Amino acid sequence: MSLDTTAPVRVSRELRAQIRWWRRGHSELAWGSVIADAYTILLSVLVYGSMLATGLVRAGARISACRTEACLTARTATPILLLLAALAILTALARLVGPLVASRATAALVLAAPVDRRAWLLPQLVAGLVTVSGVAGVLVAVGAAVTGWPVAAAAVVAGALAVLLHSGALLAQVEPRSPWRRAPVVASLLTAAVLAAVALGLFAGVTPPDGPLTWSVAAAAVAAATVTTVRAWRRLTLIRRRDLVRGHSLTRGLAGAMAGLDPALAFDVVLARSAEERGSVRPRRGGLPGGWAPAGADLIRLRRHPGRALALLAALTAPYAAAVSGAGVFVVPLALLLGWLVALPLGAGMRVLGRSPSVGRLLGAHPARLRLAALVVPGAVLLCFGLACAPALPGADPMTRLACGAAVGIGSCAALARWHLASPPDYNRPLASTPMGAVPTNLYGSAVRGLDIVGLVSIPLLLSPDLTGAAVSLALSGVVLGVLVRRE
Amino acid sequence: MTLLQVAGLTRRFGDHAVLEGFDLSIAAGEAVALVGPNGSGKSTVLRCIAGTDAPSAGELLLDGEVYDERRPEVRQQVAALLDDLDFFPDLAVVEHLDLVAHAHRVPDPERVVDDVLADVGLLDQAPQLPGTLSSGQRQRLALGLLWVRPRRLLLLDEPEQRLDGAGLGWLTDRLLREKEDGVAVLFASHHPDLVDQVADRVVRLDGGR
Ligand SMILES: Nc1ncnc2c1ncn2[C@@H]1O[C@H](COP(=O)(O)OP(=O)(O)O)[C@@H](O)[C@H]1O
Ligand SMILES: [Mg+2]
Repeated sequence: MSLDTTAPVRVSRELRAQIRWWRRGHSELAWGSVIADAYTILLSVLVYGSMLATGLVRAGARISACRTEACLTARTATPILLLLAALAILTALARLVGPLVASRATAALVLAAPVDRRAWLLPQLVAGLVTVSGVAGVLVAVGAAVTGWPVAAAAVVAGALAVLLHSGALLAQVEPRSPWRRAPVVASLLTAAVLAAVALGLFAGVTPPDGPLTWSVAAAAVAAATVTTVRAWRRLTLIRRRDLVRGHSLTRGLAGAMAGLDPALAFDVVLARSAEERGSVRPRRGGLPGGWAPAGADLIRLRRHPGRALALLAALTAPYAAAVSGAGVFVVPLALLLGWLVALPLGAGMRVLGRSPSVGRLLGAHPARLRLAALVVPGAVLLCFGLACAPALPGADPMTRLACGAAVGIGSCAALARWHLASPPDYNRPLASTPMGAVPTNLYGSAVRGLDIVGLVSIPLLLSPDLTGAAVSLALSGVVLGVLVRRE
Repeated sequence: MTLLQVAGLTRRFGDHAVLEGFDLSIAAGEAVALVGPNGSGKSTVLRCIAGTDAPSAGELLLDGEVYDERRPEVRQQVAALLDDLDFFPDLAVVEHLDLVAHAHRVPDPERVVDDVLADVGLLDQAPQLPGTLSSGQRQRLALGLLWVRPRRLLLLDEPEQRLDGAGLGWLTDRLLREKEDGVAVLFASHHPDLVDQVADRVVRLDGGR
């Protein structure tokens, strides 16, 4: 018997039906856990979301109260900023997981067979495109409605560009050297550039474009999206099995971490995965002696990934843009939030020291000493970030603004340390009974950690943006850092 | 001269006593093997000595003084490889060794690290990140991290695990050399050859039964 190996067998529909049939015996169990998972994820989204939303609503109210010319024109840029930020995040997520994934089981059963992979992957691809265009479209439509842009056309532009970048991410998955792999970085840099333009007043006098202009941009975006999606669809037959399986364990790890309300675990998963991808590095010899050794390792990391510090430079544009838009004292929580989130990768060493006593034991010095050393490099970088924010911060004179800047830098470092060094959910503690089952009492604490510190150290500066407020805020950060470092 | 003295070590989980009045003393240059079936308390003994577990009762003396692992001098002298091993995912193999050597202010750290790399057979893997090592290579790195630092007492929990045949021979030689250098070795093992060739004494545990 001879096999025609040139033509892919078009049986994916039957195969899918077959697999569904195999799974039938387990369906009861699967559905129960799916519902439980969805519930936990929903709950964690609510926990994170509500805190964030409160802050945004209050800042938004403050901004819309500002009626000066500068404020009004700066706000014109809002839909563009929302669009670019959404594209940066969506395409980064798409690149992180795939965007297409296949479980090991699927890979072994289906992809190993001469099945048409494209037909097999089509439903996933469509779902991805619908999701990203929906998210970007709705977000930008809301921004457009608030700022007087043509809503429908703006939504179409956003949806089309999201499809364009998602298809681009797919091209990068098929062909790892494709220039599309840079899309997340480019989108982030563009976001920073627009923020800088707002801060420099380049949007002064600019009014939202009219309908016809926006529609012609939309037409161009749709055309580009169509061309790229068709290209990605054509090349999809060339996708490699290993590139499909890659993202699967990652998504499962991330889902587990989010379901356990332990975002630091999600960080571990991503860090471990990027290290595995990288495989090896050009080793840098040397280090700092004794208890300062962890700081020496952080210097090696910083030289290896200068982008981690440069990202803070890009993030600097946001507080300045917010200040120009009339955010007033709310620039403080914004800068704290950004400093903390963007600097998270700088705490990679701190994180391992925090989670693994075995590593501390190896290094000999007292654990508190090691944690202190692990704070040095992120702390110094964040202090620079805070001081660089100073001109955008509230305060009557430069001296006060510098003090506020120092408070912002050290405050985001405290949030960073809280995030990386806090103890993980402890299942030996008394358990609280919840609809999700028994939950350790510090579980929710671990979900909002970091954010709680941002709130705590902002309060003094929100209440009184002067030297006293800065001093109180710095003292609070000091107490937080002290407790985290000295904890047994 | 006795280096480590353990007297009346007791560890209970609920009302089940895994260890009950366990006594042990080790002199410098001596090797003691802990053997026994799974769950007999070998790891528990090592964890209580290393300070990652708290005994319910008992006394530990190092050099005749109360053994307190919170004291830096104590941590400088005791090198432990237990079952809670972890690495920095973003530091290369050789950078891990450098880090530990510098943390202990070892003189001429680069030479020491290069020697240990060759000894544990990871020269070719020096630039690799730990996530890419095979499990046997990870065990070699874990052992190498003990050799770049000063030590008077070695605590090893199944050091032979995941090593191949050649690795086992190398580990045996290495532990014999440690003894010659006056290091006291307390190790748990399931490998009869390693126990036979290295241990001066064998302590059998039965998990409180
Ligand atoms: N935290 C704990 N709670 C209850 N029992 C434990 C705990 N830790 C260890 N044990 C029990 O103590 C016994 C000894 O464990 P261990 O010292 O790890 O054995 P091994 O000799 O295999 O290394 C086992 O029966 C184990 O189940
Ligand atoms: Mg054991």
